[in-house]
Amino acid sequence: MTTSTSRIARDTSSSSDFNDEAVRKSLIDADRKIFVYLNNFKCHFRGKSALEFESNLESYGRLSNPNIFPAEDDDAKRPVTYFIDSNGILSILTSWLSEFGDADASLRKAMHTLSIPPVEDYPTADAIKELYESMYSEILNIEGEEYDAFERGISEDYGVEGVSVECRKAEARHERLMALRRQHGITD
Amino acid sequence: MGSPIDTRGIEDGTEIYEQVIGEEIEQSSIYDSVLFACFDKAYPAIVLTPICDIVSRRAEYLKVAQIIPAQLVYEEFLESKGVTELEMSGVQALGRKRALGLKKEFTEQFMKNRVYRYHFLPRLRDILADSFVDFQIVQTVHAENLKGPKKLALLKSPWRECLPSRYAAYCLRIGTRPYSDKFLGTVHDSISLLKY
Repeated sequence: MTTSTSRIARDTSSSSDFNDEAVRKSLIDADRKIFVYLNNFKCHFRGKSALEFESNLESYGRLSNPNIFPAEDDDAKRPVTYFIDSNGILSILTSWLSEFGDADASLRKAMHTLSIPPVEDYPTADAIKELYESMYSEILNIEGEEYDAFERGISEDYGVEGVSVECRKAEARHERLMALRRQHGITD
Repeated sequence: MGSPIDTRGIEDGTEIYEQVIGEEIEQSSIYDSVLFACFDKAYPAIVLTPICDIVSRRAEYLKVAQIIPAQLVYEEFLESKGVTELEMSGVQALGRKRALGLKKEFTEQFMKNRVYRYHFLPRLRDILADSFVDFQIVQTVHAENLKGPKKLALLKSPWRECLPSRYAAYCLRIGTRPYSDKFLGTVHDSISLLKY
């Protein structure tokens, strides 16, 4: 493959990720399933964990809600993109799912009492990861060149200005970052 | 497969910067500390005025652009992408894949000079840190005012000529209304033989 065709493949990948109807539908279905699953479990969390969970669930729900992003909408790819690369939602989700995957008998009983579907009916953390990775792998294996599923690539046009650096502000922020490192004992 | 071009001289700076620099002011001379009126503060700067004007002393006032440490530009970029200060500082993990995505985006857009406003200057030993020339922060200074600051480095040809060329490109931009995605899609379909 020449450099130029490689370039074209990469540049168009972000817009063609979800052009396949079947793949898009399966992603939306997976999103929907996970959301319902998590929504059913949210009553189990208390205190700070509950707030954190609620907040992430809200973000996830907002992005994956089929009423907001219907499958036929061109923007239907957004939930998945955000799911993967924003707010660390994936890691939080997978940690919760792992926890439930290893749920003890009392928790299973509580779930049963609350009429929550058994955890076995839902994908495990590993299964979710595999699901997304396999889908991405299928979509983004372009001309044999492996494309990082989680890499957004050149998705934003910075135009002519790029970001605007105001030196005093940037220097002050850099000082804060250095102070944060020292505060947390990071010295290198 | 690696590039067939030997890039060692570029990467260690010996091919980009003159090894021996005199005191005279030249195009693409880099100074450690030039007062920028807009900030009322001194920053490193690089001379943009063409060498012919400097040698013939036709230019009494010389044009200089600010040089910003690449680290500050990168941190601004990260902020624009929603990265928190805890994540930026390395106190909180960002996630490997997201970090790699940001790295790629920054290197492609900024360090490969795709953004008109900035021009990447790689580090030169302990003399100059990895930096960007900011073509938006440009001012004129009297030639006498460049006798005080320390001359740090001087770009070699063709990097020397590349700098004013990129500055000209930044200045001579003309914005036009963009084509719609729908229109471009139609054009693409009319020229493409691809089956998909």
